[in-house]
Amino acid sequence: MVVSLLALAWTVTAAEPGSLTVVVKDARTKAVVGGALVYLDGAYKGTTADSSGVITLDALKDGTHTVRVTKPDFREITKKIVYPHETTVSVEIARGALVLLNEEGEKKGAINVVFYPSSTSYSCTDHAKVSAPVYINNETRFREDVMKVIQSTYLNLDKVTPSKTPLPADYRDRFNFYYYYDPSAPADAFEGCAGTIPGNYWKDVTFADITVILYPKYYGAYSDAACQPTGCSQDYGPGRNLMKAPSDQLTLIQHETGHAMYDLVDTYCGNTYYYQNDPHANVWSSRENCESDARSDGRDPAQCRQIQQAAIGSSVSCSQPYWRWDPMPDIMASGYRGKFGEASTQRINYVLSKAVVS
Amino acid sequence: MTVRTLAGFLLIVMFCCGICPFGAAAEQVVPDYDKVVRIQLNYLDGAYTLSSADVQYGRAPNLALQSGELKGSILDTSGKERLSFSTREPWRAQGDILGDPEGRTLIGYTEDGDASDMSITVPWVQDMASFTLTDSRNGALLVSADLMPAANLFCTDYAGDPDCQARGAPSQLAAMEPVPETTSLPFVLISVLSLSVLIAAGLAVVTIRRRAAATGIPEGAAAAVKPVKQTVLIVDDDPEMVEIIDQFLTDEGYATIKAFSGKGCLDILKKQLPDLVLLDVLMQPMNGWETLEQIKKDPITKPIPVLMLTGKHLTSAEAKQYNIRIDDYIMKPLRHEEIFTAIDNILQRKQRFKDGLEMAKKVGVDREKFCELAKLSRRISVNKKIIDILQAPAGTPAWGPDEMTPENREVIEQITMTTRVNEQRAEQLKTEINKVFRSKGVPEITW
Repeated sequence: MVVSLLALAWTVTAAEPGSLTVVVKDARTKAVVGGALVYLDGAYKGTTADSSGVITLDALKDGTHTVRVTKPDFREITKKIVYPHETTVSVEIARGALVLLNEEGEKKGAINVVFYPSSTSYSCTDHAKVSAPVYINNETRFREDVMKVIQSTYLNLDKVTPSKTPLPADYRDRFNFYYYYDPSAPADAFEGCAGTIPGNYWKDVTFADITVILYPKYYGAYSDAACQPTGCSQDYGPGRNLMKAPSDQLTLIQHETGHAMYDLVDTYCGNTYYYQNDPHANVWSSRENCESDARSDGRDPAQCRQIQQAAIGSSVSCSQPYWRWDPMPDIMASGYRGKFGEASTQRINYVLSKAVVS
Repeated sequence: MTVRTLAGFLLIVMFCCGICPFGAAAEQVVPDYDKVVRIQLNYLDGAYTLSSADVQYGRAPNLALQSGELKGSILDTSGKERLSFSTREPWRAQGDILGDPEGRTLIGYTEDGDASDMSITVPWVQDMASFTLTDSRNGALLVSADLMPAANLFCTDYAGDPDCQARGAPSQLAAMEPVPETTSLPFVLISVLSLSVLIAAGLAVVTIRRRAAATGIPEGAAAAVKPVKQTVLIVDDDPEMVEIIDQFLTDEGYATIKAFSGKGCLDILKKQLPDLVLLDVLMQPMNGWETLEQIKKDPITKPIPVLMLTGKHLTSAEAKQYNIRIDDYIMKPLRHEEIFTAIDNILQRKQRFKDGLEMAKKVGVDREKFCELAKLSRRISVNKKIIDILQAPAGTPAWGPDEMTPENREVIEQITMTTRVNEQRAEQLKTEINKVFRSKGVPEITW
């Protein structure tokens, strides 16, 4: 009854529909922006005119409305207005910080890799985190380093995998590469294990399969174990999978990508996290499992061996209850050289097969 | 010009002038209605709680690529699974330190956080009603969330979005035309009240503490239960030793649980979670180290502090392998006060971290930063003890540098280096956190 009365009251007092003029401008240059997509209360209404940046929305009812404006390469923006108090609304859109690096455009279903610059690095001389603003002061330099990393690692995978286990012929087409550049909000590669990125990025970029914090080359030379140029990966959930690495250590980047993208497990012996990463594991929790997988995948089961490491001039100094198959030098054991072995590559192929690009 | 080329030319002219009014092929505009659901969770001591759930425009990540021990599901109103994916536990960070370029492999370190944020981004699912996160290994429900309030809230602002219009009855409220201002008040009130009820109901049911399930305490009962004594699980295959320790502890006011093997310990932990485990190393068939591995592998039991107990000297290999997993190490023969000091230290440390985290949260200190400091502080303390044991095993005089085995020397050097770096980092974090504490008039951290 109450609802019926309220509905009646609403019908009686509803105003006649009117029109709203939306003007879209560039937030920095204040120039009008044509071709911006405008939505009213979630429904697409059309694009702004090239010459004036204006679109007129008709049949508006009195009340609060939501105007959403999008345009490729710009950050989308939403504005609430009250009609008829406002009959003209000016919306300023700013260029986005996300830059697509694929020449051929975005591919649907591809693996999205986003690079983010760090304003910090590590000093082997001081054994401490240091400020390293090179990327924050120079976007071109950051872009060049990102392109070098992409070419030498992600797109060079066939050079570091065995020919006996070929990658999909089109594996290079299964990635979308981007970088995100906002000098006012740099990442800190040395805050936490995998580094931290200011919150706006996560709001802005919802689709990243991996976000790579790239930090400038560390200072000084390796002198002892306390020199800690590191890589790290931490998965905070779908859309928030983070890894960090120094831009000049390409094998380490492959190694961290092995963790973050392909879920590969370390094969060196140490204080790291071991588990049998089925299916197509590269580390097994028993010799039997390792041998059984090797047999079914056509590999020699005799190559299964426990993850161990001998100390200099002594017997075993580290031993883990896990088994590995890939021969040394194995990228999942080394930070300087090596290849992904057959077992690791089978896992890589398994993940790549899930990226169905259309 | 042949007839064919002329026809072709005419076709092009017709196409450009007739179909494309601007004289060139106009780029087709495709409205973008992609939306994602963001579910923010907090992970603390093996339990997941919901922080928020909201809907926003944007593209979702490629869920097919995900793998891990957890399973996320989006369910419709009838409870039918509409979308599922795998994901990893958020507390696990895998760090790799570059070693000597002359041939050494990587040096690993894991950051096993007791606390972490988790963020799950999934695409909008038309009939979504709720979200669940389960442990794929045993099917245990870790947390669930009602997604209806988030969807309805979104559809209030974007009622014209085709997906909102198609949602039907549950979101009719959101899909209504905008309301005229003159009559909006009753509707707004009804909307606000309805949404508040939905949100409150949602918040009430979203959090399921696995700890409650493991201990058998029903939800809601916790507040009514009086504070209980700290519980210690004693694990030793020597029943006499178990009885002696039990006597020590009960006399001092601790509650105890007893296990006589590694397997027995793990069986008990499936049903009950103590505040601390006192674990003997030399047991058969599953020794203390293997038992420790299993305890630390399970995200539920992982946060429980473990105090290792043994008559055997700690080897360098054991120290290297397990230093990040243990909370303290006591040599037999046991001394009454040594056990209590160790237990008190561990439990007080745990409480200090909890209180500190609460305070940090109140004054706006980054949770990750505080947890990193707590973790480093624990590791520094344990590592120093391990170095002492390796340098001077119980009952022996301290070794001179030349008398040490190469393995011990190498491990001591490595742990010392790591500890030094950890101390530098901890000092840096403590300075940053105390700066905030000082500015808010809160007592500074002294540990």
